[in-house]
Amino acid sequence: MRKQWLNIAGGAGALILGVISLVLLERSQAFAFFYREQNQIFLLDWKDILSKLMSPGGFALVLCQCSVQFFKIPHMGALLTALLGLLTALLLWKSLKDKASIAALPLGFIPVFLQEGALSDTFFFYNGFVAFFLAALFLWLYSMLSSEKTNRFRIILGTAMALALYFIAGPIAFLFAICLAIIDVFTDRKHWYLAMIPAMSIVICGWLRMRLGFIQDMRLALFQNGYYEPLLKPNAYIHSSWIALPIVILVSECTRFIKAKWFEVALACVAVVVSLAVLFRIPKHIDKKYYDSLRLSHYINEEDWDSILSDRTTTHMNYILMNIRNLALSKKGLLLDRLFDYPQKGILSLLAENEQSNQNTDMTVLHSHIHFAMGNTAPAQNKAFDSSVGIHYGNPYMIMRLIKTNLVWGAWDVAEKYISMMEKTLFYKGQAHEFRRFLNDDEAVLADPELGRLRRGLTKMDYFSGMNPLADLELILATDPSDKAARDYYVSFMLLAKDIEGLRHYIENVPEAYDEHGDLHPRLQEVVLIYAEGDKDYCKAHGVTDETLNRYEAFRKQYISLKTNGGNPSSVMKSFSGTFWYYYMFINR
Amino acid sequence: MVVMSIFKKHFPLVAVLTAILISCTSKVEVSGTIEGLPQGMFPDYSDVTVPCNIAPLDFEISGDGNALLTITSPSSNMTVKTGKGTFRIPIRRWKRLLTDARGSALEFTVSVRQEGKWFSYNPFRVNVSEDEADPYVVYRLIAPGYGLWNKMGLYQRNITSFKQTPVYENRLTDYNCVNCHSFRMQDPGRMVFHMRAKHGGTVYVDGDDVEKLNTKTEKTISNLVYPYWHPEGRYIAFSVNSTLQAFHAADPNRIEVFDSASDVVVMDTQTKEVFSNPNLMRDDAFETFPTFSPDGRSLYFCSAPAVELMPEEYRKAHYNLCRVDFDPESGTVGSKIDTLFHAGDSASVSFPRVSPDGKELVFTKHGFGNFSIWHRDSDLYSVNLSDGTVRSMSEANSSEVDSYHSWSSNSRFMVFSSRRIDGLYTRLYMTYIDENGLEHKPFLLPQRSPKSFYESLMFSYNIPEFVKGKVKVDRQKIGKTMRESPGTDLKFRSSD
Repeated sequence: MRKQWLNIAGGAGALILGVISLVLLERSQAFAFFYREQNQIFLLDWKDILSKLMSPGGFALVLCQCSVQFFKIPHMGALLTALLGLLTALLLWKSLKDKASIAALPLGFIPVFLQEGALSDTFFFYNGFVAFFLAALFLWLYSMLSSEKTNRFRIILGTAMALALYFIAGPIAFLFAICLAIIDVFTDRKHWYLAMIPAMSIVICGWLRMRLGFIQDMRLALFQNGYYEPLLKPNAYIHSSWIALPIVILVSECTRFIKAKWFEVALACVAVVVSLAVLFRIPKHIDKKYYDSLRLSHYINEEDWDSILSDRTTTHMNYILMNIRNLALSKKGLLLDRLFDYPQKGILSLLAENEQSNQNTDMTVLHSHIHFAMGNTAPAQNKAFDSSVGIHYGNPYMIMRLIKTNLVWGAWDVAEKYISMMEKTLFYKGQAHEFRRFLNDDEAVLADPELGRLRRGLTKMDYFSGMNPLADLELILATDPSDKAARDYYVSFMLLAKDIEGLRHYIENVPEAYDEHGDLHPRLQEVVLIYAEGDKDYCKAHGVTDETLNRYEAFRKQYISLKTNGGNPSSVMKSFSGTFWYYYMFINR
Repeated sequence: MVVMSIFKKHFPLVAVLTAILISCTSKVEVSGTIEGLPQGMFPDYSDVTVPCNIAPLDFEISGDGNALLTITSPSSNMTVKTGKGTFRIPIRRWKRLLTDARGSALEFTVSVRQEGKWFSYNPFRVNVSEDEADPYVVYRLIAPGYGLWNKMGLYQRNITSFKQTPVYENRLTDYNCVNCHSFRMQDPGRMVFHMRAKHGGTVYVDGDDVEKLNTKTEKTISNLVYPYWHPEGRYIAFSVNSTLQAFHAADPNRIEVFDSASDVVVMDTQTKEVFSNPNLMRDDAFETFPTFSPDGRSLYFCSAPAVELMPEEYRKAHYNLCRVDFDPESGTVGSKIDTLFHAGDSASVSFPRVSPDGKELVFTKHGFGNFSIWHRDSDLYSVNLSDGTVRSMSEANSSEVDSYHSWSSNSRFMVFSSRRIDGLYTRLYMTYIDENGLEHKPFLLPQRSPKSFYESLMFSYNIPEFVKGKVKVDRQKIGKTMRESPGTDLKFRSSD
């Protein structure tokens, strides 16, 4: 009866913990899950799957990639992770409960919550989490199969299971083997050394893999490093679940020797406190600044420009965030209208691209988006390609970009190659298939709003693109003067560079500076007043309205007052913060 | 009775075995002939000439219906059945047919079932050479890319089977760049290749010995770049290049790689010295892509008058094919430079490679510059070294990039890289060179399920090099050496 009650209470407790972890994961890692989905392409192709399965850790990788593709669906990342975590904890509970009794459940959750916290670091691969689940599954199977069996059987079974786990899940098998060693040492203390055989087998396997040149060193063969970005060193927290699991097993083995009821209750209480402490610290491990960029990246992928413009980061003076904001403004057709409604600081606010950023795939993804929005097809493709090959398992949005840019160029065979690839995915196949209608059909490309715009912007004269965005835009506009997005970016570059001469040349010589009614954009009217302040006839002849003239007069008065009386421009001249005048006078590039 | 009981008991097994037997020996009644090659046939192996040690020429045809392939040699034949469009030819029986057809031809007949009747396409021939090709090709697999990479490695393919194994993968050295592998006269035991970025240096492999070389000297403009071994093995010629890469806005070539300076030098592997001749290190010329002749007495290279403004005037770089004497005994480079092929203002030469028998020199010709891999007009050209005549290898060339090439040690086959399938991803083709020095229709490196293989492969084959056996390097040793060894600094030996 007590056992049944314990099972029900345990199940209910596990469910509550699972739900809490779901909420915490969703609150703290929702955008990290979306990001993970963007860092892999899972192809429903049996040859591809088979080739992965044939390498150590391949099954965990396939299971991981298969799961992560669903992270595209909102909340699914947290849901699947919490579910897998719950399953892992239940398996550990089942493995431990004969020894640790009521403490087994909270004890089982401790390493799982540590794993879930580690997932806040996106350099920790999700297959490490899946491998942890497989290790728990194997521990439970081992506890079932080895119960009341001879020591020889236990060692053979343990070694076989460790080797099998190494093949399907990778380095986690070493952790599994260490756990078995702890269990078996307590089971047969006389022949304690035999309990080391599974672990030694894994060490030999790892050494062989290293010696045969499949991995760089033993860290990648035996430890959590095998599930971490190999070029980086994980911090101590990433390793904590691997330390916690053997400790949990050790504690549960030790409880066999202390029969007192109070100890059982005390241990359970301690385990509950520790597991809850670990659980509620899950959100603390995320790097908030990095998480901001993950959130904005997701909004870009979803083309949710309003969310970007209303995000809490809108006031941040960070070039990456400014790039994203200006991209959002451009996509909404408001780049010139609202450019100065947000903080700007020179042309890097539009595109912060340099040698260093070109080595970072998060940045190359962003730059591809910006070049694409500008109508600059070549660097958009260049960056998309770098983004898709610079990470381990590809980037679906960037492959879709490669499809588009190759269609724009009329590189049909290359476009078809990428289309065929994406048709093997679950979530992108429909969209990829849609692109087939453009293959070998220039007219269809030209008729499409997005592709047609880029095709029309392809310059007749070749040049090396991506070196000077302003020069690129000038050539694009010379080819297709009607491209509003390119034009807005072009003018914005000059505004942020305070290039008055360039702007004057544009206003005086480019008909597209004026709209169909012959009106000059308010931002350009503001520019006219900078270089032709005293020449009202010139101003009126070049589209400056009375309203702008009056506003400028008000600005001038406030400026003189500020010069005379002193004060902080941002408060005194707040009403003009959205104008080019304010940027021109008070913002250092 | 006993037979019947076994039959009943093992019916599924017997049924499968019977089906296999039928599929291997089936003869069909053909109701008619279809003109031309099988629809959607990939790769096109018709009328190609293959070495007598090549892997099965699996190919695919369009359609999911039943189809039969009958391969007929002078004295036997085999039938391969497919229900999904891919003919997977059993390797052992293929080898027997190849042996049988050596110096002759195989006839391939494809029959398809349409509306319950069998129709045969016109048969096509595959010529089987008397000669073998070197059994391994070593290449780099890279994303055909622009600035970033992740996985990259050197791999070797046994061309007598489908097996590919790694020679070296960059995962052992923090995912750095590995490039420009070169072997001494197709000898798998002696090779060099470079690593760039992290753990940079040149890997020098001599049998079991691995050494890291730091190849930038005070007199040279860069690390050593494009290598070519002297046939005797003591020397390796290299270029040193100041190279830049840019991305075209509206040019089908996509990328331009160009030098703003380059020279040719020779490394002495015994003394670890680098030397040259002032004529190969001129300020007013770009010298690159050195190649020794098989007798080791000539050093061929490409040279262009220096272009002042790079990248602005990158189209003005036109490389000629040149030759200079080399004396291996004294380790000196001659001073008199001959121009074998003057490219003029509308052409440029890269990657000269002399056939091991010394009769032909094949180079890549294109409009300008030296990085033919990104030039769609790149084609293979051949120079007859006895009379100096130059001709396009039109039988091997295509409208897309045809570039880096390597000779088999018997001079009968050449492997080269081409972008003819999709214009971007480089694939390997082999062409037979007959006794008159004429190339034959090239064929794509065979693969199991070749269409889906090449369609799904997102890497390019880069720098294919024939080798006479399997490369047996200790990858871990190379990785450890490059990671941990400070390396040997090369010294520049002045000629005066």
